[in-house]
Amino acid sequence: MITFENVTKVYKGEATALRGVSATIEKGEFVFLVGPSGSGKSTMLRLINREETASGGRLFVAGKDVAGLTKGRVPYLRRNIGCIFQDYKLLANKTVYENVAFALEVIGRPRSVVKSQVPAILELVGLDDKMNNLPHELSGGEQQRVSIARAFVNRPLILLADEPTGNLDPATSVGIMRLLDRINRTGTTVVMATHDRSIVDTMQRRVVELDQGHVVRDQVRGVYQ
Amino acid sequence: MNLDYIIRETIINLRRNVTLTLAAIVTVAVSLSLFGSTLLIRQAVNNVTARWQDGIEVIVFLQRDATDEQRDALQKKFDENPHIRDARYVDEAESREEALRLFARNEAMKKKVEESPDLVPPSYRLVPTEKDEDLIKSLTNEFSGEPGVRSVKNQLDTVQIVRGVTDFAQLAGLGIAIGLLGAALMLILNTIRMAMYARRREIEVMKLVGATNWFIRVPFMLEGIVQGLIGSAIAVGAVWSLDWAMAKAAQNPNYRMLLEDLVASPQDRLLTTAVVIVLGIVIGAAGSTWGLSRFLKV
Repeated sequence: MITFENVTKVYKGEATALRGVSATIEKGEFVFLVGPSGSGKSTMLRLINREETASGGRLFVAGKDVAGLTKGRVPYLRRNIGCIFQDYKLLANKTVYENVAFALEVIGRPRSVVKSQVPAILELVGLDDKMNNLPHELSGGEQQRVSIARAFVNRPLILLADEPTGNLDPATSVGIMRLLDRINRTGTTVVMATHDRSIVDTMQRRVVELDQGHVVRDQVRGVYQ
Repeated sequence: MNLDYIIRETIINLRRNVTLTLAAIVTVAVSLSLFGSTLLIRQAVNNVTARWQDGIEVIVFLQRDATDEQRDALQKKFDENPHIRDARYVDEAESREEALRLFARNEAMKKKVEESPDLVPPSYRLVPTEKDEDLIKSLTNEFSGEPGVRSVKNQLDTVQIVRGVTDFAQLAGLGIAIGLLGAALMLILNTIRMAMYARRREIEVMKLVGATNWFIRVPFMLEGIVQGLIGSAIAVGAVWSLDWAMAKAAQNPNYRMLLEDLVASPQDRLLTTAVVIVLGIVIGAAGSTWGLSRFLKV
């Protein structure tokens, strides 16, 4: 599903973020990216999503050479990729329902699809009773659930999560991880960058550890260490 | 593409920043009104001068005591000159009649003409073979010194003065209009930038979930185009009012002599309207495209 071949990323005028990273992530896998801040975890996610392009090496996502995509094709790549973030990135002036519906509307899905899909996905994340609330009326965990609903409503092949539990307490984090696990079981590939030791240790999934832009460990059923 | 999404977003954008939107619309309206009016007047003036130029003739005024021999000599010269198509003699009586007709509404002038016959001497009206400025000038010079000739006149100078004045006015009008159009462009650019800034989080999410750049752009471009279009609609109203006023003034018997031809034809009006509307759309589209270019790098 995702293949890094000796990928290097140098930010303009700044330090090198990735130095010759190679890794293959199969369809349906659940992968943790761990490592200290600045080790290149977020850069890997941003390359998959093509928010950034690699400086060297090759990267394939869903069978396509990402660097070879024209600007016009990038949105269609992104329709296969859901994204969640530490800060949720919800729209403050839209209700829970509207936030999720927005993701479908702006890729041109017909209204009938929006009307059937949005309540279904909100039920899946357990927020069907808060559809008409605004984000600020929800707890952090609930807001993250909304953002997961938004990322998953289009049934993407890949879900990228950049420290999704970074702002949440441990109990709430467990709930979020259960939800991501459930999404993973539907066949969605999940790649999650995290600093959360206890989550990595209890989930026992593949762990890719980065340090200063190198992969220093790639372990099936690994721990945070 | 989802039509009601686009319409909804465009209206939201337009309403978000009412004062700036109004400023942009007013500037477009003022600049295009000026531009359209200048265009319309230019066409009207062209109509007038074309007609005047068509009628340019060389008038050879004779001295009142010119002898028959002198007249015959002149007549012969006119007939022999290859550049003169026609020479017509207008005697004193006909001259007076013409002057009285010309000043039909001006009692003081009429009285003057009747009192002093010197004002309306007999003359020859020469129609040159070509409407060539140099030819007209040389004919004027050629007959100035002939015996029995009081003076030779042509209307070239009048036409040129009118042309010069209107050319200058048009140039000034166009200059101001272009300056204002530039200001309108900047204002639209700014409203789009502000609208995009206000919505940067939405745009970020749109990009994230895979909205195409065109999908993101269209409501903002429409916002600019609507501003340009409303502005140009107001301008079209102003230009039509001017057209109507000119037509009305031309029909007023007091100015009829002067303004009879100072009317734009229906084609002129249509052309001006089209130019104004197209310019409004172009300004709106250009302003918003320019405003968008900075934000929408993927």
